[in-house]
Amino acid sequence: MNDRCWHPRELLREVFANLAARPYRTTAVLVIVVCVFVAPAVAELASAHSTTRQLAALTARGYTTVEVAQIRTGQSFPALPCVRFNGQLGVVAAGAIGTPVTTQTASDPGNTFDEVPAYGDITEVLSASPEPGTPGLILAGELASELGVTTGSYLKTGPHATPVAAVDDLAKRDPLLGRLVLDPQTATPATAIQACFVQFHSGAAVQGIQTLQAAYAAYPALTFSFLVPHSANTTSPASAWANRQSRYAWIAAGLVVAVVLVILLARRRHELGVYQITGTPVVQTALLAVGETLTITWAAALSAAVWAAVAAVYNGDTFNAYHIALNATARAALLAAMIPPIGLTPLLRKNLTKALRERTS
Amino acid sequence: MSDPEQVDAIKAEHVSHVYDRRIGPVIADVDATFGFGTLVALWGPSGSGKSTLLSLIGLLMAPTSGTVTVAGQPAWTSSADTRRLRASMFAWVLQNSACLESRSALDNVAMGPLAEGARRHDATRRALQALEVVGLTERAASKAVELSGGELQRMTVARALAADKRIVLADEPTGQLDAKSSAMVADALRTLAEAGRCVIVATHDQAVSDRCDDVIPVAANPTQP
Repeated sequence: MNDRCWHPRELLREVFANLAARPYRTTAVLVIVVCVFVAPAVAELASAHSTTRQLAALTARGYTTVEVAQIRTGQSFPALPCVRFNGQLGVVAAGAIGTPVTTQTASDPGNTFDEVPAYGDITEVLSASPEPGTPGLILAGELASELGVTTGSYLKTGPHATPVAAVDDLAKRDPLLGRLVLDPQTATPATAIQACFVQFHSGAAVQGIQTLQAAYAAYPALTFSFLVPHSANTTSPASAWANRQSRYAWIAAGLVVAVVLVILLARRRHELGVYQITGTPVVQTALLAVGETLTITWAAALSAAVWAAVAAVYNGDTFNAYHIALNATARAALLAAMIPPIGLTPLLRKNLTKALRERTS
Repeated sequence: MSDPEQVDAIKAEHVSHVYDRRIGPVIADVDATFGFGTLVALWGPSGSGKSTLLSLIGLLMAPTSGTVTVAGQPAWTSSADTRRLRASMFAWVLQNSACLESRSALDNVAMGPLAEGARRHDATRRALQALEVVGLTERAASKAVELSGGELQRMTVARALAADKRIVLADEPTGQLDAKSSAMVADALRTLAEAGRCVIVATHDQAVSDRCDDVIPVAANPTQP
């Protein structure tokens, strides 16, 4: 009796030989897996590209938006300095977003803001900046996310606003919370806010942000930043996973690839049985099966990474697109590492005798 | 370890096997001994249990009762030892010509040596020698799927030859072949036995049994419906 088995290099060559022996099938599976890996990134890039175009359009119109927020603590700060920017030279519009409150809670007595519910039927998200003087707020952060709109969009307020379908997407928001948008155009602010947005004419932006900093000098923890067109979905694989839609895309991609590979390998039970009756140990037979699926998934992951990099360069929005490319690559690599053990299933499902009586289809 | 030259290749004692208790045993209390250097036929009609007996002595299935000893070593004492015995001692020639259909005949035959740890050039050399013995040298580069039934069976015989396993089990190797192809396969099996291997053939082909050193009749269990 002996324990002889395949030389590792010959086993590796056998993996590639098997894949090369069925070029059409291998190519078809590879294409399917690449598509599955790339599809979520295509959607993300398309979305990012839309944002980029929107911001580009705004820039072309000469507007620059500054966000004031207390990022570290999330604590509130006075609205008054923010709202007072309305009507100043070089300012297109200024607005603020108040603290979330429960839907059932009534407005505090003496609150001089007009509280405009961000949900319901009286808001409209504008695709471009309103003309100066038009009542409107710039959306960003959580509110934009909950409304399902892009950061930098404009929320029109006023008597002639129309419904927004996305606002009714209950899955996107905490049903116990309703956000109140403080409309600076019609009232004098007297309460605290979480974020302030001031849109300047581009030529006035640099001086404007200095003025804003001076207005909030008493609040050193505040941050002042220009809005950049990237969503929280695309900053890292971890944050992408935290996003519900992105998470579903990842899971769907994994399932599709798994099903394809299971079908591929189920049709090869007979051949894997042949390896065993010619003396190949079960472990090496499993390595063969896993090696074939691993080769396909890693080739697909590499293809997805190359595609994502090319798409990122072509997209032109390097910051956002490269993050999407990173996500696509990370997703493909993760799935590529997780799925190949499925290659073991044909060995587990049937005994050798039955496997050998089947014919390869 | 027992000396393989001094022991029987396979010894089956009181071997029985039951697939379904309601139907009863397919193989009942079989005793048989097979030596090295012999070509033995398990002879019987379809459904008599030849393939089952072959699977039992080839360690593809454990018998419901009884013992199987291979080259002096009792089988099924542990699953790991059984797997090692199965991998190291047995080569198979199956009725459906179990092979990698998309690979060449040469690749298929070279599998045996490769599975024993041989490098590609050595495995290829041994495979070409084996293909020459069964008269398939000119078809070495052809894909298995392109071979005729007879060529396929001879290819699997060549695989057994190249693998250098000491026991060759053939399950109805000529079941789907014409007389001429059957004779060629039987001759190839004879060659394996003459090289010192124990060759056991489950068959109901007279042309094959005529070339065997011994014929063991396998009758359907009379207790079965």
